[in-house]
Amino acid sequence: MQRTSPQTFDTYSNGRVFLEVLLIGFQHGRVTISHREYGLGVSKGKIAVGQNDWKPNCPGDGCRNPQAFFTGEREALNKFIGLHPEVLRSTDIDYLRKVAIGFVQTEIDAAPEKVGGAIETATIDGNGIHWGENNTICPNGKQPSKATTKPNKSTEAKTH
Amino acid sequence: MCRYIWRHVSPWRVYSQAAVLIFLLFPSDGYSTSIVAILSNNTVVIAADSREIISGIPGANPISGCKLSVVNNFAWSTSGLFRVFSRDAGTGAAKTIYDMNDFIGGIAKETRYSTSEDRTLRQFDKQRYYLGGEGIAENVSSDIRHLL
Repeated sequence: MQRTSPQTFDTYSNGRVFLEVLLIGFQHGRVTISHREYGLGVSKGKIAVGQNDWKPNCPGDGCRNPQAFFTGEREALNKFIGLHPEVLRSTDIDYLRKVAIGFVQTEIDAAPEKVGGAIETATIDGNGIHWGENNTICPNGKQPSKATTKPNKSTEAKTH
Repeated sequence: MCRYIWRHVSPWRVYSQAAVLIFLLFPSDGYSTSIVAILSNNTVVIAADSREIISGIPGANPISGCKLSVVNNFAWSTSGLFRVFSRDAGTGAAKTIYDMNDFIGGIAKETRYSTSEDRTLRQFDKQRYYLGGEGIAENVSSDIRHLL
């Protein structure tokens, strides 16, 4: 690629993220998340893979505010959450599920050429993983459902 | 079982309960996605769009587009790499069935030695089948289904 598509190679070997991984697990009853970004770089003619890592600063029970991890397309989300941080002040899981769906829908609206399709959901707690009832693709065998919920700061913030 | 894995994979940290791995490959080449995880009170809520196929990874259906994969045992190290473990049906021994070292190494190798004129990143993305191992993924999925 370096020889045949130097422009593409330069684009992706300049520290640009080419892979993101979100890992979620439980250890001793405490949730652990790791959001990793991998990028390519060139050092002394050799390709090197670097990474950045983000983890929650308040895992476990008793954290006052939810923490959100955005992976992939997130420009519209970052803008939204910057303007309306109050949407993440409730710790109610049902509410947060709607917010998560709404967040993805926000990116679908902002970048429909890149993001789209049915929105799959899952919840993970100390009892394992619970697939969303409306999932179309992930393994719960339910029928399709198009998510339409958007995070609404005026209504959802008042709810909690 | 957990103690057995600990003994064999230390200093890797093993997470033996339900876990979700979400892979996003080459987010800027047109294959994109948006995935959100919200953590609150020791619970995580995840939402993901289903625009593109994520395949060649353990637990993922190669043609489904499901971006959420569940494994029963995985571990990651302080160096930032992770492994997915299964158990050998015959011996009960823990075995690595997927190694992020190989995954990342495969990407780097493919990048370094690619010579095809038309190997764009979109085509490169399809190399996921090689990187993750399409056949391997099927076997791994079977292993994971057995575990779940």
